[in-house]
Amino acid sequence: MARFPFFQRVSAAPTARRQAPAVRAFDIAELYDGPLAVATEVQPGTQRLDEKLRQAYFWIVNTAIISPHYDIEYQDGPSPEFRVGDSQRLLTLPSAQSYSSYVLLPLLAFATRSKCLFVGGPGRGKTASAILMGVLAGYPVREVRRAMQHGHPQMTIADLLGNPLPADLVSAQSIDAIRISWRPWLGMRVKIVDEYNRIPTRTQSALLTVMGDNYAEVLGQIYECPPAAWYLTANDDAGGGTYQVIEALRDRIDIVVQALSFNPRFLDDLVLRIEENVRPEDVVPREIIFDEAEIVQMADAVRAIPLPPEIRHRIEFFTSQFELMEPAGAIFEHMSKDTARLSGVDWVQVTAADSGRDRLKDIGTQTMNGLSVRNLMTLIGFAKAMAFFRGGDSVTLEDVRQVLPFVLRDKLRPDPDAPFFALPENAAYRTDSIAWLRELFDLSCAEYDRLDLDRDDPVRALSDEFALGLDGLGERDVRARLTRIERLVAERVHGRKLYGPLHDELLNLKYLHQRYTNYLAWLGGRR
Amino acid sequence: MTVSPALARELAASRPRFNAQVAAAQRARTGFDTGALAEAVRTRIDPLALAVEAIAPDRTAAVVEAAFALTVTLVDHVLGGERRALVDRVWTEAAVPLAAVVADRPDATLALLTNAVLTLAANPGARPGDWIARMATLAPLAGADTLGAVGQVAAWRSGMAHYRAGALKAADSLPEPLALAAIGANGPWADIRIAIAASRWWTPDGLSPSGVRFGGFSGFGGPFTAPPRVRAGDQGFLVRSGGRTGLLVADAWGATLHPASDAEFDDAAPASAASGAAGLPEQGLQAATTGDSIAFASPISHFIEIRPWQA
Repeated sequence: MARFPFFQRVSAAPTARRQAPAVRAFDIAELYDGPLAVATEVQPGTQRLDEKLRQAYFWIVNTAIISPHYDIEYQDGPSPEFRVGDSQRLLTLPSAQSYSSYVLLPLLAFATRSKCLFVGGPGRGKTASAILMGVLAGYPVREVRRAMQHGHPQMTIADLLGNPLPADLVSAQSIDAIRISWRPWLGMRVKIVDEYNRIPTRTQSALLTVMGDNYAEVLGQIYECPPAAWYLTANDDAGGGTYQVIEALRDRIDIVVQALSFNPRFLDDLVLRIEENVRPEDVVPREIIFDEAEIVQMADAVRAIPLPPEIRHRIEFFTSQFELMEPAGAIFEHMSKDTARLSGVDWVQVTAADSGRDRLKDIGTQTMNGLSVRNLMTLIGFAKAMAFFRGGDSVTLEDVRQVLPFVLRDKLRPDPDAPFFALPENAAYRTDSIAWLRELFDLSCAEYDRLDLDRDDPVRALSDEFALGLDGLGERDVRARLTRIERLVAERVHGRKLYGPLHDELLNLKYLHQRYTNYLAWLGGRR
Repeated sequence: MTVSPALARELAASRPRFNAQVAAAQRARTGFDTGALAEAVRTRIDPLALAVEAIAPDRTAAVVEAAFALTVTLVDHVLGGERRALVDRVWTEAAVPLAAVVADRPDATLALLTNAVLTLAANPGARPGDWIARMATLAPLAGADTLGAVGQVAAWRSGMAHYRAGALKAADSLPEPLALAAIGANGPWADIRIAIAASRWWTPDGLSPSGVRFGGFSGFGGPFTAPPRVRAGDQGFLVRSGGRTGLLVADAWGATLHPASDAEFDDAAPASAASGAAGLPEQGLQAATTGDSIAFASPISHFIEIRPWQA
């Protein structure tokens, strides 16, 4: 396989002999065609950053990281499919450009300045991948290595953030006068914390402040950190390590990427590296290194990728599935898994009371929690980044489908006692969380299609009508709308079981009803 | 290998990176000539590193890094002796005088100079040596932004007659003093421009009376295996020699030959008997004319003479 630039050279076009044209246009620019690539100076803002990001991806995947796993699959027409083994697992040969999650997702985290956790056994290249991201941000390898924070059981807050200057400690008349020697990594655009689950709990809290709020504090002195992409590594993402990772810190991680196993068929690439004594991070081409302005520009460009309403509706529907826990609340709004969790009552006890619904059909029963706002923001951000990376004008359903499992891994916790996992064909989903989350989204989309919600969603119609504004709306119209809402609620609850989407629909209708009611009161007060 | 302290310092500083490049090249091509690389480092990179060190020492590292990578690529291409010597010349005789531009944009400048001289060398009739000399002369006036256009104009003046239209446009984009220097003329550029556009035989010294001579036997390095026959075409003269047909484009500064089809030659008006070509035997002399040029060819010569002509 091609690994280094020399191996990637292709024959210059045209490779077939040209027929002499009847009328020749002698192009003087051909004077500079030749064996050397004329690296024309690119004016800022003229190079497509999505193209540069793709070039970075392909350089990494072809040259730097031996990761021949194309587990983010896109199809462009029929793709050959094979059923393999006793389990009849599906092997697909994708008909469109597909990607290696281990390479692509950290790059998307780079583009969106998110927080990425590499997990996997020792020696699988987690740290090397993180260093590559630092080099892509324009830092010399040596600087990236020195700035990398290595988690260890004795790590103090001072080790992590910085020390007060000894002279100031002696001579300062007030705390404010003590200057801090901040650690250089705090000012970097790519921050790397190696083996973060070996950091003591107290120091984790300081790390949480930097990760969550982007500032560091020592002795009352504040250091404001620039926006940065974060890369953390852990040998075990299940809370293992020397110290239990505090939940708030885990929750700040946007995406989890697993280092997949090494395919020994690619052993020759390892031999090559040994023989040539080459480390990929030392030979990153300058063409794929992003400067500070480009990183900012890229993050802006990613945010500008639109999320079409029809895709958003499917994300809404998917999210609606998980929060409802009917037996957990006596108040309609409180019937949530969060209520059950905060109560401290045993989970099994609560779920045992959840009877009457089809627990196999209801995909909400497969999880022990719902999705937070932060999770949704991350999902949308990464879906946009995926669309940007692929050069798309807007987010597609497949973009969402591909990034969703990696964003929600470690966030949407499966309930191993759910009937879904008891089915023999679903046994693998207990251990393969990525496959489970993708299946979850597929099931949600299938249900969405079955309900034909793209075309027939009366609650959405009412919301859209409300979104047009209340200005100039008369009392009669408001009362008519209130009546329609009440009728719709009555229709929705009549003889139906309560599922997550219905719960959210009813809450939405209640919201609309309340807004119209308040408006009506306001109209009455004006008379 | 003895190199200057500046180059030795930069080579030592980036030793792992350079070693990795060489190792990769060796892996990619069996027989990668490390001897040629060492020679190129000494003859091409060292003078350049010294020149840059003298004017912009903070850019020496970047220049050496770029030059080394380009040199490895060139060695990997296994250039023949003559072409390799031309590359040596362009790096030492043109890139060194252009050290300020190289320091500013090392990759682009060195690649541009190298590719250009190899393109000239690949065009029968073009004079890469002249081009190198012109670039060295123009070096004090050229900047990073103007080097490309200067090189194009210089290429035209060095025999790349088919670049005439493009070179004029390139000259238009240059500051007037630089455009005039590149053309080798004095006076207002607007007037010079009109004069050049009016006649392909214009030179700063007036119309070229003698025209240009093109050709030679392939056994002696020329383009023709047999005495050529000429016919007049729309873009120049169509030439057939042995089994091959070409289009000859000429002006006051040179002539170049380009592939053409047999049909083009067959469709063109035949040449007629002629006399008066000083450099060719009179026996069987043929001439073909276009609007502003006449080409003479002899059945007992491998050369063609092209001169100004007015119908």
